[in-house]
Amino acid sequence: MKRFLHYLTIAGVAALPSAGYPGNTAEPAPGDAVAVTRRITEGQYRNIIADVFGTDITVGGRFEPDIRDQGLLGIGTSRVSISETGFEQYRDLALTVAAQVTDAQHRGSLIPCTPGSPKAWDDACATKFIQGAGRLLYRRPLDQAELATLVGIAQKSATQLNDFYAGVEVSLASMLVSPQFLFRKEVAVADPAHPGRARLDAYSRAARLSFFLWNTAPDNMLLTAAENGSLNTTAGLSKQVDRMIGSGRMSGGVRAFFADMLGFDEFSTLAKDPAIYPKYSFKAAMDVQEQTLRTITDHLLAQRGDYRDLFTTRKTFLTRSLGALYGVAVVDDVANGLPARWVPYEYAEGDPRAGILTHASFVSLHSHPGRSSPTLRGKAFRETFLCQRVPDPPVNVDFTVVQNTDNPIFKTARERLTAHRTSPTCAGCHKITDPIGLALENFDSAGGYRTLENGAPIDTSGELNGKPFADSVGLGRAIRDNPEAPNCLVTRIYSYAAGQTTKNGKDWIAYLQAGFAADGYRVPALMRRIAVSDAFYSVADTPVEETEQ
Amino acid sequence: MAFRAKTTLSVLSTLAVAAMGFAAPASALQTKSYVVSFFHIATHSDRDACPHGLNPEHVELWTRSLKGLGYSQKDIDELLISQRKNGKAIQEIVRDRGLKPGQENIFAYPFSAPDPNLHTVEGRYSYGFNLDGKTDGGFEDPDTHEQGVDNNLYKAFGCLRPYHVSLPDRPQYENNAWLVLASAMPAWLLSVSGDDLTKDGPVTVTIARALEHTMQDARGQTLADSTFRIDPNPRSHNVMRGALNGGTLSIEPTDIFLEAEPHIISKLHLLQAHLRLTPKPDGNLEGYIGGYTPWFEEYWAHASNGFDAEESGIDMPGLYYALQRLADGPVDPKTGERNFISATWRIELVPAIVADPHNALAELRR
Repeated sequence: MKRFLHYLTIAGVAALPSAGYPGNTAEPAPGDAVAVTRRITEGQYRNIIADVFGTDITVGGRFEPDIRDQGLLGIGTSRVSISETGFEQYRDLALTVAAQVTDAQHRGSLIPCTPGSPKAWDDACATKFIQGAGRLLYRRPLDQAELATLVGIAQKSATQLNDFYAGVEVSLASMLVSPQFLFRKEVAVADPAHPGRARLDAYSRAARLSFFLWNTAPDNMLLTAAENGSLNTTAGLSKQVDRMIGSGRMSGGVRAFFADMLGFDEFSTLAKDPAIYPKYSFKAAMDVQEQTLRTITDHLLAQRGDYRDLFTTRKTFLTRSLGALYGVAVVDDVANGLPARWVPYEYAEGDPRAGILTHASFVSLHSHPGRSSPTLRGKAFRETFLCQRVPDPPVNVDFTVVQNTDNPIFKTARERLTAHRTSPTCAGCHKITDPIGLALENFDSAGGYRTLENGAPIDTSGELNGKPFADSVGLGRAIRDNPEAPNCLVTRIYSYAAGQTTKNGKDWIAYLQAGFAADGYRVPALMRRIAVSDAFYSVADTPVEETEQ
Repeated sequence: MAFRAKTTLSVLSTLAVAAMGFAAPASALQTKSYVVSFFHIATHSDRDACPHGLNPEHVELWTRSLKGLGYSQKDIDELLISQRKNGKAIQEIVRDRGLKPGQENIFAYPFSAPDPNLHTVEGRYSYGFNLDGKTDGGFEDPDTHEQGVDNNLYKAFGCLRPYHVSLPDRPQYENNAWLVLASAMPAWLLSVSGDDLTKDGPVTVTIARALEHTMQDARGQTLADSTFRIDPNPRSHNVMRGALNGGTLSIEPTDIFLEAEPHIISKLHLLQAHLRLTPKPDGNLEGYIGGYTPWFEEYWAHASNGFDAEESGIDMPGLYYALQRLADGPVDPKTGERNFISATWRIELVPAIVADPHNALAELRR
């Protein structure tokens, strides 16, 4: 296999024309997409270790925090580096993982050969392990120089320590702190089918595909398809995409995307006042995320449901502890109720809970520690599901009226916000957030149901873009029928997959949006449409030397 | 505050029908269910409770026991120092201070040690109920001011240091045991059913054991509104007639049996059980449950913990003799002994969802 040119993307490269992509007349060009370098996320790190070495290898420790850019961590990962502290954390993780892989319990199954003596250097065995693990960790075969370096590290350590496995351990730890592992560096090469254009090389293509669909590194079959060139063919690509979409691992990719889009990383810093919301325990905060992700994957994958129906579905999954949070009966037939299991649950017709907007994950994440926030909820609604940008409040805003939930005059959030909006500088933004957020006021900061606030009845009526509704269920119907919601999802999911927003790519997005509608708003179909497209792998980078063979 | 019917009534009724296979009651029955969140011996320890002082704490208790075994003060001092260092020096000596051959372990054979004649409660007040109908000789309930309250369990325990407390403090041993172990035992449930729980009138009360354990909330307290199934074993299923009066729930005297866990309370077995529960503004219930209970079970609930019980300041042979002496329940016609003692426990409950509450009512009607 010939090595080929790779280089990091430089912003500002010349944009490709956006009208028409020569490789597939049905597809417009994706705009000026570029090859990007992204740091793997915590979830991806954990998935890769589990895939390569097994789920019983513990990945303990902390990770460098990701940053959210333009609504997605998936974009922010291309904007981050690794700090000194972060490197120490990755080093500690690497040492822990490498020690487990090579310990007496695991070496027999994870190292594909047995050295002549555990106390002596065995070049062939070490090379075999490093080649195999390196291919999966680096998401491509190691080149000769890399292999020689890693084998040399292992040999030196093994010889000094009189321990073959200690040498392999050091070499494996080296791989796990390497930028080749920690960063997904996409490589652009000349596109032989379209002179003057570039595309991702086969391994970058495999990685983009795998992280998109499975949220992990390419498996052996995908790497093999990259190695033998079939992944660069329409048939070969389709075969791999269909294999991956048909796999149970697809749920991992869908979960990762929606967890990113819904901002679930922010749960790590979410706090609720336990005196006010005693049911919102640490476990409950974990469970509310899982509830929504289970609902989404079941609806989209198992039921092949319409994305828009996520806003109205009465079907979900609950645990006993979540049942307590919601005040509904959750009966599980497991002995003693332990371990807690997820039980399918369907709210009755007329129940105020329908759709993911009414899940505690949404209403609790976008609330304050001691009170709900129609404004935060409305802002999150517009930004998350409609891809609209709501400006931050001016720095000199007086929040006194809004924050005082004990005000005997303004008992409800609606009354407090109405008083607050008398300021013209506030009214503009609150006008677009509050009518949405107030529809969710039946749900307190922890997601519990209420009809009164400070003894006063809660008015949940509102409107979305002039369309009135009476309550949270009506809000769910309003966004379900709003064409901007699925269009936003298309934008989000492409940006997540490509690690960038489109520039000059309106036609490409419009093409995907039309396809999404034609597919009945089935998300797996949308993901497939993106994954098998030429445009998804087309980049504006201009290779200057070699062409992939 | 009156009981409020759950909004989930229809859901529960449906569940009951689905789960139990018979029709729900024809009337529009309201049911409210709870799970026990705290349970301990009811104590009301004012300064008049123990006019002769409290019983010795553990060091004094050990010293007295060791002297009784012939140890010199010098030996005792050295043993106490060693005990502080290694936690073991005295353990076996005090455990095996029984005087009868083959019955040296005083936790298993408390009658093998002499009666230290523990101080018992002589004060005026105790939570509880008048079980025998007599108004002379008993306590006065500090809340209801009912006279003739029978609570000899408190009389036996109340001058032991861990039990010489009043609310909001709780008896140390039971407090700790409950906090640590309550979520590890099948929960205790209470359901109230009636035509209109917002009004005074007759109700049906079910006290039963659940299949599930309780869970904890963000404060480490019992999680409210979680769902439980009633253990189908009838042994721990008690259905009784009750009443709401001014919001306070009571029952007609009856017998109650509930399995429990040894380290908290081995079982709740009550003859002529009485109940008094009052709703709190937050929807919880609190109050008292009492009756005649087997006194040896109360002894064993503590003695089964061995040295730990005495280390908390309870002279186990002394407790054994006090309970035996104060037993005031019915006389066993076969032995002529009183195996039961009047008792009252503090009981606190939080709202819960019981999947099949109407099963109990159907059973009562049959």
